[in-house]
Parts: sequence; structure tokens; C-alpha cells
Amino acid sequence: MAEMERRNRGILSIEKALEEFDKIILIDSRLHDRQLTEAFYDEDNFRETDKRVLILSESEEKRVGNIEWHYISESETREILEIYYLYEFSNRIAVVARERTFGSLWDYVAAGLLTRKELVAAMLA
Amino acid sequence: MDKPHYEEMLSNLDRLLQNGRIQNKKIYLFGHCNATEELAKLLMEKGFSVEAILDNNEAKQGRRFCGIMVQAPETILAEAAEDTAVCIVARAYAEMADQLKRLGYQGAVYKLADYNTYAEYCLSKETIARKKIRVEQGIHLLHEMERKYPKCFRILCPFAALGDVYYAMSYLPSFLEKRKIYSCGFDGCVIGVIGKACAGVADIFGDYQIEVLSQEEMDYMVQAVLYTKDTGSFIAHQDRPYVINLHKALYTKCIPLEQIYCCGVYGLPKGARASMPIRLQPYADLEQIKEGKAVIFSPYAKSVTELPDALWDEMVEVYLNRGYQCFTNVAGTEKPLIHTMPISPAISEIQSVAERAGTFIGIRSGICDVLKEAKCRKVALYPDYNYCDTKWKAIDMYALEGWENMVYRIGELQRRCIAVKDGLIWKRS
Repeated sequence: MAEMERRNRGILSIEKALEEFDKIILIDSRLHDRQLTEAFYDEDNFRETDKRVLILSESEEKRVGNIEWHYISESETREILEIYYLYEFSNRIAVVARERTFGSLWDYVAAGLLTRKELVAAMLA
Repeated sequence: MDKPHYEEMLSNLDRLLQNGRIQNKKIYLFGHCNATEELAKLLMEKGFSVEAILDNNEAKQGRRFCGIMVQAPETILAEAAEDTAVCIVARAYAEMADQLKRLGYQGAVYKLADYNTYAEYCLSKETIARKKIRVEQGIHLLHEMERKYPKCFRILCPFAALGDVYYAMSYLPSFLEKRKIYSCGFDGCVIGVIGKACAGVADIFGDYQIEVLSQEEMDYMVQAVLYTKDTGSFIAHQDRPYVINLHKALYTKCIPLEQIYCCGVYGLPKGARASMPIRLQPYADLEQIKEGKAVIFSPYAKSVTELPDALWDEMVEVYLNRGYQCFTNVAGTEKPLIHTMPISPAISEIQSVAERAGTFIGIRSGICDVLKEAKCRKVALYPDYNYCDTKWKAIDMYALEGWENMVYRIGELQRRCIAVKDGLIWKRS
């Protein structure tokens, strides 16, 4: 039972989060790109949203208004990402990651079409 | 709306009617799009009235389609749930059903067509197990494709739209160069597309292998690419499947479609080189077209609101009165405009047809992208609609350089862009 709980912890946590928050942003811990991830720790980038937003990462937890940053372990992240790439289980979760199999908003930032603040706003849309 | 989805919608509607699900209910549709308009028309033909079309896009709210008001989704909560039924034929069924549930709507919600096999808003073990089987099928298809095209990098175009395939192909060489694909053990490239028309577009760009897939096969393969992080494949689209978030930038910024493909899909710098088609052919019966004294009309587009017949009829009349030959570009069961001749060139031949005629006038569709560089007068007509649920108009996203881009609003034809050359202009009396 304990093993099952550990194995499903990621799914359980995302299910709970989907009930409580309007939007969930999951930052892939394997993403070593501070320029990208920094934007999601900057509270100023979230000032214009009235959504309840949860940012999941391995960084420290904090809460500012309707935005919360929660810690998530590497194994939970892997579990959620496995399901995320298996099918679309919600349109309210966004993943911050660099994948080589498709284009993404990060490419707009690199091309100078979006600022990092606009990137965050787009992810929250 | 394509034929298979139309038939699926028809079949599902008939089943609802046989089971008495929507009789004596106030019927709401969710998501104002071409498919929803088809469903509304179908319901009215069957003697039902539609209470409203729900849509999140504020720019659409307050407008009417065939007398049916477009309203915010929350408005349905004013009704007793048991007296209502919501029918959804739009692509984002799962998202819409989820939104209704979160609003507190407790009435029936019916999916009339399955456009989106990726989505199921449920995390049950059964759903996960079913989706794993789907991915396994996709992996099998990928392996088959690998066996058929060994050492070929796979480009998957997951949506059957000519314009999307055009831009995916146009920037592909720059992308392959950027990724140094041919130095990574690949000898070539195979393009996966849906349907023969998209294959025709891919083919005009050069010596690529092309594999025509069904929508289902494509969906399974794309999911397998995502799940396995297949480094031998790339998904070349701007908003499919769900993991691709490029369209979200459009909520704040207008990025034209070509730039979406260049910078967003392929990660190329602004101004990266776009390739042109190189395998164009002359149409076999060019001599039937009066050189410089003919017009090719193209009134049909798969997923765009139609322009009124009266508009096309008026244009045809003007040109006929001036001694022009008038042709309608048709495919499949499409009918030519009244007093015009049908013409059905292959994708590779259509540029020769337009250039021979001297004038092309079409609803803005993928055919216009294929004719992008044609040397003739080129007019693109835009119905007055917003791009998806953004604040941008279609003309903002799709305007073509070197074309006369015009927005049609009910009661007028409004010129939006480049001045019309000397020649024929039609006027409303």
C-alpha cells in the first residue's frame, strides 16, 4: 500500500491541485535553463492575473496573493510528466521544459518575439 | 467541416434523437466555429431551435448566426439544468465540458464529433491504461514507418490544412540545417501528412519521401513521439497536439502565421530563409484558358466561414460582362459557381492555371498559400472572423504580401490593404 501511494503520489497531487487551482505550471527539474525558469519565480510576472495559480518545482515554497509556489519531488515530477505526455488530462496544466520534438513559446523568446514576462502571461492564458 | 467528421456528427445526432435525449430540451451549442454552424443548420433542418451558441470569446458574444445569439457560457446557468442540453462539435470538447462542470452546470453535455483523440479529462486507472494501449499502437506505427523509410528523419504534419503544410515545408530546409540532421545519421527526410491534398503540397517542395496517414494513425504516432521523446521525429505544427503552446502567445501579441512556423515551430531566427516550391507543373489543358482574360475563383475552404453566394455571383457577373472567362477551382463534390466552368488542377498545377488566367480571387485558404508567389493578380477575401478565440482578425494573421487582402463584412466589401491595381473592381449598387 505504501509503495502504491508512493507510486501514485504524483497523480494524486496533480488531481488535488486541479481541484484547487485554475492553472498549474510544472517546471521540469531537468531543465537547466535559469533564464527560462527565473521568469516563473518572479512575482512581478504574475501581477496581472486574477487566476489561482500553482507553480510546482524543486525550489522553495512561497505564496503571494493568489499565486503559490510548491515544492515537488523529482519522482513526482516524473510521474506527472509521464501522464502529461501520455494524453491530455487537463488543459489547465502547462509544463516548462525544452523538448526537441516540437516548437514552443521559448523559441519566441529566443527570437525576440516575446519577453519573458509575456512568456509567463502566455502560459497563464 | 470534413466529410468524415460531418458524418460522425450526423450519426451521433441521430442517435441522440433516437434515444430522446434532446427533444423537449433547450439546446445550446458550445464553441462558435464552422463545425458548430454546420450543427446549428442541421438541427434547424430537423425542426429544432437552438437556444444559443456559447463562446468564451467576448468579441463574438452578442453576435448572431442564423438568428442564434452567441453568449458567454455562464448564461446557461440561468436555466434549470434538467431543461437544457449542450451539444459540442468543436475541437475543444474536453476543455468545454470541463469548463461547464467547473461553472457548476449539471445538465447533459454531448460530444457530437471526436476531433481530439488526445484529450480525456480523467485520471482514472482505466483511462491511463487505455491511453497506454493507444501509445503502444503509435509506437508500432512509428517502427513500421522506420522500417519503410530507414535512416529518414520524420516530420509529422498532424493537421490536414494545406497552409500549415505549406509553411512547414517552406521552412523545413532551414530547420534541417539548423539541427544538422544529415550529420546525425539521417540520410533523408520523410513527411507524414493527412490526405492526398496535403501530400500534394508537400510534394511541390522537392525530393522528400511522403507518407499519407489517416488522422487516427497520425494522432497515435504523434502521441508516441511525445511519450518516447523520439529523437528521430519532429512535430511540425503550431497548435497540435496539446503540448504545443505557441498559440497562447496570440492572446497578447499578433504573430502572423508564417512567422509562427519560422520562429515558433522551427525555432529559427526572424528572417530565416523560406524555401519556395520547386516541383510545379503546367496544367495539361492550359490552352482552354484565355491568357490574361480569365479569372479563377476559389470560394471553398474547409474550416472557414463561407462567404455569401451573392458576393461570388456578383463578381462573376462583373467579369463575364467584361468578356472574361470564369472558372471555379473545385475538388471532390464542390460545385462551380453559377455561370462558371469547373477546373480542378492538381496542387502542383494550380500556379500555372492562375498565371495563365491572370486573376485569382479566393476565400483566404491554404490554396492561397500555395499560390503565394504566383505572377498574376491575386485577391484574398476574408470573412470577418477572429482567429480562434483571440482578439486578432483572420486578416491580421493570414494577410499575404503581394496580394490584395480584403475583409468582407455583411453589406460591404472593405478594402484593408494594398491598393487595387488598374483593372476590374466590383461595386455594390
